[in-house]
Amino acid sequence: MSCRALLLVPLFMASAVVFAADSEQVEAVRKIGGQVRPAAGADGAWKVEFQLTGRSLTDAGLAQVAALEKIVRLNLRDTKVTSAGLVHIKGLTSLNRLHLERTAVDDSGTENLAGLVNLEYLNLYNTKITDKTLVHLAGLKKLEQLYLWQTGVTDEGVSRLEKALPGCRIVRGIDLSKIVAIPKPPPRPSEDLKWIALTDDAKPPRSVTGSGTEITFTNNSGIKVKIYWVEYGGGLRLYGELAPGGKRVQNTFSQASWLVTDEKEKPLGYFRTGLKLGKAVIPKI
Amino acid sequence: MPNSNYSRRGFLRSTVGLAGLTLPTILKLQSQAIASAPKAKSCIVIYTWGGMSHYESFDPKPDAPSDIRGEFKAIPTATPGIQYCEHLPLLAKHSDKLAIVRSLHHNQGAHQGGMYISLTGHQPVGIKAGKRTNWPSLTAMISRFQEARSGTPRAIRMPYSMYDNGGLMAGDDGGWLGYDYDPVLIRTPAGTPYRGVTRYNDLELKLKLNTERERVASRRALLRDLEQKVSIGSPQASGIHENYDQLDHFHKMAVDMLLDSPVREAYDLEQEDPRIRDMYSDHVCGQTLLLSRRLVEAGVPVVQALCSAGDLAGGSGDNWDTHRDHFPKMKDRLLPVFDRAVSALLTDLEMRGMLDETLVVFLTDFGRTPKINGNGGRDHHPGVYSMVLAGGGIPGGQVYGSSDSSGISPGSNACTPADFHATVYKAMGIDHHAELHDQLDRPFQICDGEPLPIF
Repeated sequence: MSCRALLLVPLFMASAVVFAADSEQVEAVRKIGGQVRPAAGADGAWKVEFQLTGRSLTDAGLAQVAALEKIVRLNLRDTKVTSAGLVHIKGLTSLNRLHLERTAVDDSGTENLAGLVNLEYLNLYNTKITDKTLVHLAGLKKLEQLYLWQTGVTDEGVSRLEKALPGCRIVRGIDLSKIVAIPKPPPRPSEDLKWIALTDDAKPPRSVTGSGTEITFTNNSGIKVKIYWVEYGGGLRLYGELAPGGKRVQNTFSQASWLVTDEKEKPLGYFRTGLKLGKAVIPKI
Repeated sequence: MPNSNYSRRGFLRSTVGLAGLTLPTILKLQSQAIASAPKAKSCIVIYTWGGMSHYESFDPKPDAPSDIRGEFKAIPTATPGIQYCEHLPLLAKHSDKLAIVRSLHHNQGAHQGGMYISLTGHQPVGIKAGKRTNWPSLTAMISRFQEARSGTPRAIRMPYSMYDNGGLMAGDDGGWLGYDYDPVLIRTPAGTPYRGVTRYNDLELKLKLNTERERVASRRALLRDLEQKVSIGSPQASGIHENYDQLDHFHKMAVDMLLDSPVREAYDLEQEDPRIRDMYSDHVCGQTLLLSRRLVEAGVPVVQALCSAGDLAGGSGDNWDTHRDHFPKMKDRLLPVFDRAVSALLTDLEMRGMLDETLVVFLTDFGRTPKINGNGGRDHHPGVYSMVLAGGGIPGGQVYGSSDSSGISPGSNACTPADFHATVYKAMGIDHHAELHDQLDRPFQICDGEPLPIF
């Protein structure tokens, strides 16, 4: 095994080992998919996150998480936690950041949030909560950020809470039904490009720089062909092969020459691009 | 505060570090390393390739003579006293989230140099695309300080690499940090492309292909098989070892992502609410920024979005290198797409409660010349230009520094890309004077600048 792979894991593994020795609770939370890390500054405090690796977390699992007690940051986004589980976090009064967004949480049980007096950040977006829950938040005087997009709250409910928590930024997001898609631009005009057949010793003209456009090759020749861009200096650059009946869309510039040869690189003919999107049909040989 | 936290962390990552320390010591060091928690946990870098005009974006000069002022007006923003270009009306409503730096300058007048100094924060000296002595990009460097999780790349960049007339640029990869820190290039799976050339290359990951689990698992077995075969062969064989090294990294990353990760889910834009997709606009710029949000949500620490066609190709295609027809290009194609997509990103991050921990960084090569040239264009101008920060704990509604009345040179608080990078590092909780070692074990201080006093 290469040592590169080893380089990536020691910190994580080391943490896990130490945490296990320190605390069975930490180990238990890890087992149900939680990421547990020591929090900055606060001695013995934890940050616990389930949104990436522990989305199957249920209310029962939340009871195990709560056993850690001193949790400052808890992320339950996208988990299977419901309102019935909130009773377990009632006692986590160290919490200053709580993510409940995109869970089945509704108004029942949110009274358990009323005692989380150290909360500075609470995210409830895309839950079923309404103004009834906001009433329970009025006493969270340290709350600075509250996220309520895609919930059932009303203007009145929010404005009552704003009065109770003047220092809190309440974000309700936008009304998605008001988004107006940019109308698609009309399709750019296209034109049929002229097939200019080549005899053995003739050469296609060099490409000249122009504006961006597109060329679409359709191979009706009945044989496999090769497609070359004729460079500004006259050299040939192979762009690909096209099977009989095949189609290829290619970015190009106007005033470019595109040479078509057979498999043995015998020139058959070429196309010259214009400003319009070019349809380049390679005729029956 | 003297800070060697991150070199400690780097030390911990090495096997030597582990062998030499007892486990409780490791835990202690780890908690010291996070003693001062930064606000920003993730970063989205938005790069406007080609050199976005400062006049027609964040530093309009409505009072300058008309040959400098240009065709567009300045409009008020949500922040009294701050004006943007009139073709950024949506971003003007987000001015309370943006910190504009208007006094950046450097000495690199060509794209490669300007892009290198803006993206790495260092002078281009002896650089060449792909060389492992180049400095790492900001994206790669930030990712160096992030914890790696299985199936989650430390850094992703989209939707294609930076080219100029077919030449790949230096400064957009992991540089001397090594292949493992090259941001993984992935293709944006939707969106109307920029007009003109959009070059994809072979290293990009197309996560949508072959995502059936059994097939991926059997590929993983194949990979192991290949690994063994290669290790039997001679590593000295003409550079094969080095190429394999790279292949191995990308393949492993791909397989891990396909099998196990929320990243795979995030990549599927079909799962997103179609109204949200419309909010970002059906353009590869919008869909790339939407994907950036989804990837950050899925735990990717740093994402870089190139908001421009991949190849400047002599000024054709939609990119910010507007030597010709500057005003119609900006008004009709570049600014509306940028305005809508970036505003959507800010709205989206904000209403999901992600903006406070996601630092959004705007970078570009340089500004554009004061005088309109004979082709109705503006040329390269590194003498002064603007870059922007939003979210991640940076207070918005502010402007740092200024350009002079004509937008030619810094007027006050002149600063450099290195200072801007130091500011980004500080916001991400990274010591900008941290010392790292390259693959030959030579020590480098990651940044020569000082953080701007904007937070």
